[in-house]
Order: sequence, then C-alpha cells, then structure tokens
Amino acid sequence: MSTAIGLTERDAAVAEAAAEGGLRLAADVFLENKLALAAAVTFAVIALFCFVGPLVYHTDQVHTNISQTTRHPGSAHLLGTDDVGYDELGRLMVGGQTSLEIALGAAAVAVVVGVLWGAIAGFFGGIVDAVMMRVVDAVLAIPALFLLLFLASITTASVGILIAVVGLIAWLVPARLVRGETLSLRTREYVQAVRVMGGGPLRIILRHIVPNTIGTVIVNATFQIADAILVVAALSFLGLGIPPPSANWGGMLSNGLNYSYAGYWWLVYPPGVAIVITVVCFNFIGDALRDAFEVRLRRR
Amino acid sequence: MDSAATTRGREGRRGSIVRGPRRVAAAAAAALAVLVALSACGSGSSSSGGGTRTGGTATLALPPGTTPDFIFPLVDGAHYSVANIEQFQRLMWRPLYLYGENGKPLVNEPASLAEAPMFSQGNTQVTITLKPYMWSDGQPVTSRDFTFLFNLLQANKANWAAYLPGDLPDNVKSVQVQGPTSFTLILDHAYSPAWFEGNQLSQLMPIPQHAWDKTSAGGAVGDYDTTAAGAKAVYDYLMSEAKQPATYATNPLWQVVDGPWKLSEYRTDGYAAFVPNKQYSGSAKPKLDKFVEQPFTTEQAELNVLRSGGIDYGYLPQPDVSQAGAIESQGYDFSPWVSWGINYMPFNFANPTVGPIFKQLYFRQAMQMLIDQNGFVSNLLKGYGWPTNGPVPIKPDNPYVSSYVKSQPYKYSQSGAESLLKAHGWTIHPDGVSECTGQCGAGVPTGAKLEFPLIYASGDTITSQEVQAWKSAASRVGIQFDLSEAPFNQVIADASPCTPGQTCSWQIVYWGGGWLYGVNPLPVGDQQFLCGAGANFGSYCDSTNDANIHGVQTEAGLDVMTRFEDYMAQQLPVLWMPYRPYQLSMIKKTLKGVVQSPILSLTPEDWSYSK
Amino acid sequence: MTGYVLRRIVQAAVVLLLVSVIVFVMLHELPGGTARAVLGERATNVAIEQFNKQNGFDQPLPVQYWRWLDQIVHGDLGFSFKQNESVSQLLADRLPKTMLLAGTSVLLALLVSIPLGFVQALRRNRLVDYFLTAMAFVFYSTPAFWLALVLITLFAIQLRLFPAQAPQGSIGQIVAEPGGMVLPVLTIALVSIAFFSRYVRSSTLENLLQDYVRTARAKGASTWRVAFGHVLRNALVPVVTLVGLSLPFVFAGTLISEEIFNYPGMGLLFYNAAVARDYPVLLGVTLVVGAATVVGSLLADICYGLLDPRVRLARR
Repeated sequence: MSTAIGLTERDAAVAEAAAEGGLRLAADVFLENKLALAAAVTFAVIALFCFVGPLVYHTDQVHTNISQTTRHPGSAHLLGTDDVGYDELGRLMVGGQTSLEIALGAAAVAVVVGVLWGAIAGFFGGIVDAVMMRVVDAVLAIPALFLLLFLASITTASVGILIAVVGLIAWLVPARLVRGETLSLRTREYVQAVRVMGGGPLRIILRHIVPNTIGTVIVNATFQIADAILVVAALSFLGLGIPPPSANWGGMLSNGLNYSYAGYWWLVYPPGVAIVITVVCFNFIGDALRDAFEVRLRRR
Repeated sequence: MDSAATTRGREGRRGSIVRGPRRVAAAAAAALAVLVALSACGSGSSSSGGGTRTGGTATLALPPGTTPDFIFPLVDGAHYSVANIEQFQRLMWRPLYLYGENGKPLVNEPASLAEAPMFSQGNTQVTITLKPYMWSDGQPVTSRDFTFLFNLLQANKANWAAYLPGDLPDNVKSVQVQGPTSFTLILDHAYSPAWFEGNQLSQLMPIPQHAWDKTSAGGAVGDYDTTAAGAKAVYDYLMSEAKQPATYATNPLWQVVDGPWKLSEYRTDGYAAFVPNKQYSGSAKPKLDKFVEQPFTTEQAELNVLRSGGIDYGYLPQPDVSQAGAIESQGYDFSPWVSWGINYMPFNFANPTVGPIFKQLYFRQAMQMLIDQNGFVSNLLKGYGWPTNGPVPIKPDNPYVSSYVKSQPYKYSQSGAESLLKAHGWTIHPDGVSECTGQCGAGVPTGAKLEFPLIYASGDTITSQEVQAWKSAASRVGIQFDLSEAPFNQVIADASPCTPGQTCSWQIVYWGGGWLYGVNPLPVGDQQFLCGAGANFGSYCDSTNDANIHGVQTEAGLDVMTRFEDYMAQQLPVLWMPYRPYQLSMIKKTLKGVVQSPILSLTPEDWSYSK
Repeated sequence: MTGYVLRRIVQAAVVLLLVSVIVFVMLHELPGGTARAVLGERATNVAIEQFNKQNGFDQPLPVQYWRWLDQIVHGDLGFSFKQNESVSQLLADRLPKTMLLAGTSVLLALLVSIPLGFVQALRRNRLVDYFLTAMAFVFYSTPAFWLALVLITLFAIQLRLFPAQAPQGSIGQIVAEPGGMVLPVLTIALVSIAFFSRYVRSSTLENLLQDYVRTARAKGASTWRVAFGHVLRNALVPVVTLVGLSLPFVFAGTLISEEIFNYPGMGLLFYNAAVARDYPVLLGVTLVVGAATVVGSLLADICYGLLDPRVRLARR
C-alpha cells in the first residue's frame, strides 16, 4: 500500500510544506492539475450514481427472484441479473453506497485516531512517544490481511463493524506521519509561547498542532480511502464480507468471478471496473495533492 | 508418454483461438513441457474404440477442504471423514462388507472381504466367513485379524468416531472363532440383518495382527491385544504412529495391506499417490500403474487445472455447470456423482427463547412450505439435484424410500404458510416481523416475534443462494432471518446439541452439505434423530420416533423402515433442503470403468485406460 | 553508529514482544474453539473439557501466554491438530517456499520498477511518463484476485503458456518447474511494480532537483552521466527502506496469490488454518511473518543509517 512506507526525509519535508497553507493549497491543485480535476469530477459522478441513482432507477434489492437468475442485459434489466435474481445495475448502485460508506468511514476513523495518537505521542515525546510508537510498529509489522482475517472472523460483518475493523488497521500510518510532524512543530516559537502562557497540552494539541497537519492528513486520507475499497474487496473474496442481502462492490466482484467462465461478464466487469475507477480516482487526487506540496517545497 | 494425449488435445482445440503457426509451435512446446511435468502421465495412445490396456496414471481432484490426513483405520472423532475413510483407508484395508454396488447403496460383493453373513438363532447370531485373501507381505487374512480389531475396539471404543453407546462393540456379547477364516458373533438381542450388515459390520475391517500387534516400534509382535491393558497399549502405539503424517508412505506398518492399493507417496497437504498391491487377492486387480489424489484449496483452482487438461478425474463447480459442454469437447465425460444422502437445516429445540416456537408442528410446516425445493433445483442447481422429503433419499433408486416420501408432503406454498401461521394466532407483517397476538402454542408468549439468526457455511455459492432465496420468501410473511456466514468448521461447532449448564444460543444453522449415509448405508437416522444422539444437533426428542428407529434396527423387513420415514417426513424434525450430487464429475473419456459409488468409496482397481 | 544500531535493536525487540502479545490475545478471542474443531461435531462436553485441560486451553490467558513464550524460546511452536504435525515442521516446510515466491516477486518488481521509475523521472510529464503512470495506477487499483484470474484465463487457459496451478511438493520439485511459478509471481509483482516505480520516480525527481545536480551540470557533465553517476545511487537509498517496510504488503499479496494458485506456502497454510481455526498454526505463521517484518525493517534502517548519515545523527 502506498501509505505503508515509513517516514523519510522527503515526507517530513512534504509535511512541513503542507503545513503551510493546507486547504488553500489543495484547492489550487485542482485548478492546476487537469488529471486531478478529472478524477474529482469522476468521483462526484460515481457518488451521484450510487446515492441518487436508486431514486431514478427503481429495483428491488431486498427480495430475490430465483426464476430470473443470471439473465443477460436487456430491456428489463439494463445490466442483467445476478445469481439470485437481483437487478445488477441497481445492485451496483446499492453496493457502491456500502463500499463508499465503509471506505469513507474507515478513512475518517483512521484519520481521527491516527492524528490524535500521533499528535499526543509527538507532543509528549520521551517514554510516552517511545511506547506509543512501538505499539504502532508492532501492529504495522503484522500484515494487514492477516489481522483483518482475524478481526472479521470474530464478528459478524456489518457496515459499522467493517468501518471499525478497517479503520483499526488504517490509523497506523497517519499516526506515524502526524507524530513526525508534531515533533517538529512543537519546537516552533508560537507553540512554546502558548505553553509559557499556560495553555494545557490538550488545548495546544487540538488548537495548534492538529490544524497544521491537515495537509499531510488530507493526502494520506485520500490514499486510505483508496486502500479501504481494495481491502474490503479482498475481505469479501476471502469470505468475510457483509451478509446478504447487503451488497458491496468487492463482494459482487468476487461472487461474479465464480461465473467468469460461464461468460456472465455483467457480473464481473461492472463491479470490477467500478472498483478500479474509484480507486484510481482517489490515487490520482492524493498523488496530485502530494506533488503539489512537493512543488511548493521546491519553489522555496 | 504424454505426447499422444497432448496431440489429441491440441487437435481438439483447433477450432479455438490460434495465434499463427510459429507461436502455436512455441506455445505447444512449452505447454507440452509443462503438461508433462505437471500432470501425471495419463491417457494412452489413440486408437479406434474397444479394449483397454494396463498402465497409466489416473489423477483425481479432491474437493476443497477434504484431504486425507489420517491413515489408521480405527479413526477418532477429529478424522472421521469421507476423505479419510472411503477415499483413503478403504483402498488399503477392505471392510468386511463394502457398499455401493453399481451405483446403488447395496453391498458390493466382489469387493467385500467376507462372504455374505449368515444370521441364525432368530437373528441373534451372525457367522462370517472371510474370503481367502492374503496380506501384502504374504500372510493370510484370518479370523485372528478380526479378533485383533475387535479387541482394540472394545478397549478403546470411547475414542472410536463411529462409537454409539449400545452399538458396536457393545452389542456383541462374544466372538467365537470357528476356524481360520470364520467366526461367529453372539449378539445381545435380535437385530435386523439389513441393519446389522449395513451399518455395523460394514464398519469393521480386519487389520494385520501379525504386523501391528505391538506396543512400540522396536518391540516384538505378540498377543498384547488379548488383555484390556495390552489392547490400549497397542492402540496408543498405533495412534502415535498415525500422528506422523510425513511417514505415511514410508512407515512399514502402513505397507501391510489387504486392499488393492498401497500408499507410495504422501504429502501433508493431502496429496496421496497409490501403487497396486501385487498381492491383492480380490477379483478386480488394479490395471493402472498409479492412482493419485490431488488436493485443491478452491473449486476455482481445480477448475482452472481441469480446463487446462491437467486432471483425469475432476469436477465442475456447480456455478460453472454451463461449462459442461465446453469441457466435454476437450475429451471429458460429464457425470454427476449421485451420492446417498439428505440435506437439511436443524432447528435448535433446546433454545430457551425460540425452542417453544420450533416445537409447534404447524410452525415447522409453515417454514418448510416457504422452501421452494423444486425451484431451487431447477433455478439454482440447474437441474443437478433433487429435493429431500424425508430421512430416506429419493435418489439413487433404492428399495427403501416410501411413496409418501416421494410425493413431497410439503410443497412450496407461500399462501399455505401464511394461513397456517394466521390460524395459530400470528399477525402477519409482510416484510416486517410477524408477532404472536393469539394462542400460538404451549410456551409461546404473546408478543413473540418471528426473527431468527441464521448461520450458514461460507465458501459455497449454492448454500449462499439458497439461504438468500429462503430469506426473501420468508420475509414476505414476516419471518426475518438475520444472516451471517461462518466457516464450515465453525458452523458445525456452533450447531452442537445443547447440554444443561451450557449456553445454548444458536437457533438455526445450515452447513449446506447435508448428511451422507456413507459408512452407515441403511438410512435409519439413529445418529441424527434419536433422542440424545451425538449428531442430533437440534436436540429433537420424540418417543414415537425413537421406537420406530429401534424397530428398524431390530426387526427385519421394509415395513419398519416405511413407518420410520413417513413419520419423520411428516413431523419435520429438521427442515428438508435439496440434495446435490457429491460433485459434477468430469472424467476423461479414455478412463474407463469408473462407476461412481453412492457411498463415495473409490475403487480405482476397476479403472483402466482405453487403448 | 553503534548507538544508533543498539537503539534500533532494543526497539525491535520491544516491538517483537508486542507483536507476540497482540497475536496471542487476538487469536484467543476467536469463537468456535480449537476443541470442537479437533474433536469433531460429535464430541461431548466432557471430551472437550478433557481436551482443553490436556492442552492447557483452560488456564488463564497470561499463564497460557507464558507457557507459549517459553515453548517458543525452546523452538517448539506448538502442534497443529488439524494437520497432525508440529508447527515448526510445517513452517520449516512452507516458509522457504513463500520466501521463494515473495523474494522472486520483489526481485522482479525491483528489476522492473527501478529503471521504469528512473525513466519516468527523467522524462517527467512526457507521454512515456503519463502512460506508465496510468498503467501503474490501473495495476495498483485492481483487486489482486481479479488480476490473478485474468492472468490465468489469458495465459493458462487460452494461450496454455503456463499452468493454472503452482507446482507442488518440496522446494526442489517447485524449482524444477519454473513455468508454474510465473503466474503467481506476476500477480504479486505487477502490483508491487506499480507502487515501487511511483516511489522510485518521486525519489529520483527529488534528487534531480538538488543543488549538487545543478552544480555537476554547470560543470559540464551531461544529464545522463549525472543521472547514473550520482542520482541513481542517492535515489535508491530510500528504496532500501521501502523494500524492508513493504514486507507486510508482500506477505498479504502472497496470501491471495498462494490461495488462488494452490501454492504450498505460508500464505495458504495461514488461510487454511484460519478457516479450520487451527490456533497453533495461526500463531506460528503470524509470529514468523511479524518477526520477519521487524527484522527486515531493522536491517533496512541499519542500511539506511549506513548510507545516510543524517538519519543516524538525528534523534528519531
């Protein structure tokens, strides 16, 4: 995963650059980089498709219809039906809702937990930092898929559980990144000034440190979203997805792959392509944001 | 070795995508090299039909998750499986009576170790005469080998997977040896000959006393088994040897066999290769040079190898059944393996909250009427399957199934289910949760809801589809199932019979595979439906049923069987589900003589390649 | 330097211990229990209690953990009930095979991605760069199991170039059939190439714009000379860390690849053990993989420290 890389000199510099100007810089990026803009627009279209689509294209995604299994795309069902009779296009929309909800939710959890963990560790330093970071290292050392296989098998997967489970793996890298930044930020004059004036650590962390890490965090968050979609797809493939009648793209893809030789292409390509496009979009966006912060760095 | 087969394979592919002469040659050469290395040397040279030859290797694909992992025939609970018994041990050590003759669940006389049993004294005694077989080291198979087995069984029955209190070996008062190859069992009371031969004697396989009767690897062979302590010691020693799978093919103990095959190679992933036992005394001597069992972790992996021609005896995963034609044109015969079993979903009658609801017959009837078995068979199984209507399977053709069971007493009817529930005090909320607002039955409180967690085994597409379709049908009358998937092992673990003092929270589970009447071919239901039986997951208890089952075990004739199955079909101790063939086999056209036993035993000594 | 190395080693040891604790606690939260899985569905509760007692599953967790740690130190990683073999034996059998698969994949990925990333950086924002970037993104964003199936359908079934299943048996038998390794390696490598090449690209870019490059060019050295002479070496330094730290990702990749291709390595062992609730095997594999990652990143950090003095002098 692109984010499973440790902190390097370059990242630290990027982080610093990002700290100066964060959100405004992000906006600039989209105006300059055509590809990132295209990616953002594509994602907006996909989101609309998933959340607004069902209001326009009504299908029953709750009741099966076994007399209509694996029908070819046609007038009755624009993308055919799946192996228990659900309309595939409708399922793609509903599945997209779940996939995006989990990805965005997991990224949010990762960001919140990671930022707090990293900021606290970086701010206090010393033994607190050492212990907290060793915990991060320990969990990072175990391959995510292995950890996920465990976690998801303890519980019955639901959207909430998956958000928690994927988020639990994903917070590690933002934690590291934010900790690194906090280490440098806390030596700044204005932070020292607040401390002298009697500001409590929590206040400093929340008011002064965290906002300055927004840049890095945004970049990382976009990659988290992309990774989360892939991870949930892998989990569904390994049999640990959300039980029916709920749908998500990864589960649809892995179920459809059972029929790949049967030639039921409409069960494979729509969810597969949806996953690839969405993940590519987020990767483009994140990449562009990161590049932009680097450019900013070089211009200095 | 393989060149002719590859040539023929390539000829078959001439109609499909070809990229130009040079690339075909290069690709073919590479494919040839790989095929030779990968697949066992299989088919022989082509010729016009008729006549088979000796030699060749046949590779069988094992279904996912079913690999042989235990070689000692006195199997313990953890290793009680088809993969170990019918498809591994029985190739090497033959039971007294092997079932599965010609695709029917009847005794296969030529492959059995003993002549037909003679019951006498009002069916309280049975005399068995062994055929003149030899062990692979030249010693004859004698009654002593039987008494050796029996002694070990008696001293270690608690550990024997097939042990049920009251059955073997408890029901044998004594064994009287009449001669070197004949002995008489004195039983504790009269038994139905069909039951005793099919479900008891068929589980016994003489083991080589002259080679195995010792208590340590370096020790001498003796008669240790004649004392209880000695029998335990011998058993412990043999079990310890069996716990070293890496040595299965090399340990001299396991090379003393009376069956047609000897293990020549074994790997811990389940790969097993057999070569013929030259001393085999049975009439059907092996014609192949080698028989291989190849494990796969997923059906897809097996399908991929099958499609590339690397398997001689493979299977088509059910979702890919539309591929049958394509694969047949690559030189295979499509042959669904009709197995002898039933499929069902148990209710947990012992669950404190919902047990009382399950105990209402009308409720079980309504649930069964929401299962569109015929619809599942035609739409989900694509015709490769058949409904289960009672404890006796309707296929393959057999003398046991009754006309009542064949008539499918509870046909799919949503309206029927709805009126049954309404008539018994339930208010129906379609797509919601129905509630009890009247007199719903003993122990069912007002306000009770029809919402149940349903756990089903993951990894099987059909199981998942069936469960989804049933959930959908049930939701229309307000019965809500909260689905969750779990690995097969966990589902089985969860579905354990509740004992007092144990938390008993499961309600309905479905492992999808059903019950195979394998080692016990007479479908008497003593393991699943008898009150207190180990595999009676739902704790179903009915005294009429118990009496019926005992009748089948002790009285001769088919009337008792009919009485038993009709009652079960009507009473619904479990929910019946469609049963599927064991696998949709794809057998190379050149591999002749394969008759798929409904008991799932493998008899590769009958197979040979055409000339 | 010694101080740096010692600090790192102590940190690694602590992390390793934490890894073992995490793994142990989590595995014991799994429902279903080993007893039932081993003894079968017919087991009585009495038999289960006996089994738990015999194998120490009824002791309090800290006691079990201590016993387990003690065993590990003596080289006994436990006994797998499902497979009737000691865990150490299983690992000794499977680990080399996964190392072979993972090692070959990473090597291939590096061999391809280093020149690829390098070229992309030198030709930044030209067509080559865009095209390769697009390819990288697509491969990186495709679920690995789908990619594997596409490879199988294309190369194994339609073209019949490679078998659909990985070679089986001992490591000698596997090496003797290199054709069977191609698709499993490709599945992992393609995704790794995508992500390594992006990294090499940005690392090279960063170096290209450094002062020393401008100085060298001002002195008259050609771009290529500077590139190969200085930039490449410096750009590769972070790649060392990258390889070390991408081990968890590669192991996850081997899990899926081994499962699809039936490759008898640790990933497949792990997957089967997870389904079968084979505790000792799960513990053993996770521990070994976690340890490998910790050791890997320790070595990477030491290398990085050797190569880049700024790192070891700064307080981390």
